[in-house]
Amino acid sequence: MNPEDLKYHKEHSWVKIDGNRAAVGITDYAQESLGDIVYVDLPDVDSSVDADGEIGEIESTKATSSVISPVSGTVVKVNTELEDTPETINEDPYGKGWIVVIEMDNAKEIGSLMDAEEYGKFVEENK
Amino acid sequence: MARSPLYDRHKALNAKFLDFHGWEMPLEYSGSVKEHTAVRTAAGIFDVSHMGVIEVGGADSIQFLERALTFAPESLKPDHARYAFLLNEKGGIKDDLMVFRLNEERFILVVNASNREKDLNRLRGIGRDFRAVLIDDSPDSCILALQGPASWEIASSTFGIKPSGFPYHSFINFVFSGSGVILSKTGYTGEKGFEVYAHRKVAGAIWDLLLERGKNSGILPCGLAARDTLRLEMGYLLYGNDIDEDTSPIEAGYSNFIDLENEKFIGRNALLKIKEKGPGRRLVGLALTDPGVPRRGCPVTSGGKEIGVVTSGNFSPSLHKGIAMAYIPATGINDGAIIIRGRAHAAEVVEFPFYRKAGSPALTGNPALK
Repeated sequence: MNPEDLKYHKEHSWVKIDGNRAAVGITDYAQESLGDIVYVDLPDVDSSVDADGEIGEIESTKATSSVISPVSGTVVKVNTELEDTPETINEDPYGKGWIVVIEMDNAKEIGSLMDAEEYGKFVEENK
Repeated sequence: MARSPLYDRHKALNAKFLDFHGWEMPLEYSGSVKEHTAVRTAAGIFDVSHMGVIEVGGADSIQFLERALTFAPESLKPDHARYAFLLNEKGGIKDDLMVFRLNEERFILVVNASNREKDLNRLRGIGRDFRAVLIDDSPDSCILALQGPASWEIASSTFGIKPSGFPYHSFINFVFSGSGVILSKTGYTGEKGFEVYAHRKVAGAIWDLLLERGKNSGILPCGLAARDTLRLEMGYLLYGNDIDEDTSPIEAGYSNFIDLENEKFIGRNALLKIKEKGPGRRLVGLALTDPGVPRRGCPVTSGGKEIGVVTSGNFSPSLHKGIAMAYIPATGINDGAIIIRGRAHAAEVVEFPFYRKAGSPALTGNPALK
């Protein structure tokens, strides 16, 4: 199930808000659709990102998919463990499989994101 | 979309499906890397019933095949199989296929699903000059591939046969549940293994039995995603990716699979010319030395200059790095790289196969069925 304390973007990424910082990852539905993840292209720390903009690429044996940032800001941390163990995203997409932490420019952007229930419905409708 | 007679079984095993040239076939079941590893270490079973099966018979079948394909039919013994090409007049590849010789004048051609109609038309055209009969057996045929080090054991307990009793690229016939079955030592993974050719009405029972008998060996049902990474690690060709009507077997590195003693086949003169002049480009393996996953269409550079594109590329689950195939100038490359999303990733030219394992048949070139 999609955790209640996260907010979701229609491109199947999530944010977990902690003050002015937002951890970002991809949803369980996204990792399931991608299949076995074998490589993650991470952004540089200090790079700036826009809401709805690309912050990375995820490669599975089947496909390549962009990671879309739900919020604008500056990348302050990247999950470098994913370089060696990208499959962590498959195993724990909402926990150890986090991808970046962003220092937000505009916390109001969170308001346009979906909650867990809305996202669950969104996925069902778009299957 | 066409479906294999085993579709319901795949569905029950929670397969994800893809549209493969008009066939709704399993892409993966438990995950393609897991399935890939099962084939390398234990066993995997694939449904490849999308492949076309064309039977050739008649008094002139040998003369007909001599004209149509790049091998010398007389030299292929009954109960043996081999790899061959169907060429156009320019030496370009219309299809790559496996030929099985059933007896003196009967053969089976196993062709790519994407080319079946084209091949049939082409072969029927050539066949007009010969007393040869062509029958499309595809609608009734199922093909299962049992691949991996444990596959001998599984086949022997399932069918009561002795796998050591017949060599690679040969096959045996037997009756299963009232229906004739061919069990051939062929495959598209580089592992020990078999392919089972059976009528659609018994294929499900064979599938069930192989899965059941393979349980203790760790057999997994495997989809086309794993099939693709397995064949790529061996450097086996995929029609439409690595070869097509504009590439010759010589550029693809398959001169050794052409029987030039067959002086009749269409495209032979063109091949001789290419051979004499030397091909301008050749298909090579590229292994990334930087992290990343190369994909079909990614540019290949030499000293920063674009000199080709990737024809097939993926992450190698066995080698844990990106691998690719590409045509490069015959002169070779220096300081090679593959451009992925605008960024250069260093790559080196490597010999096929990418992956080698002690104890596996280590067949080079394409001995394969796709």
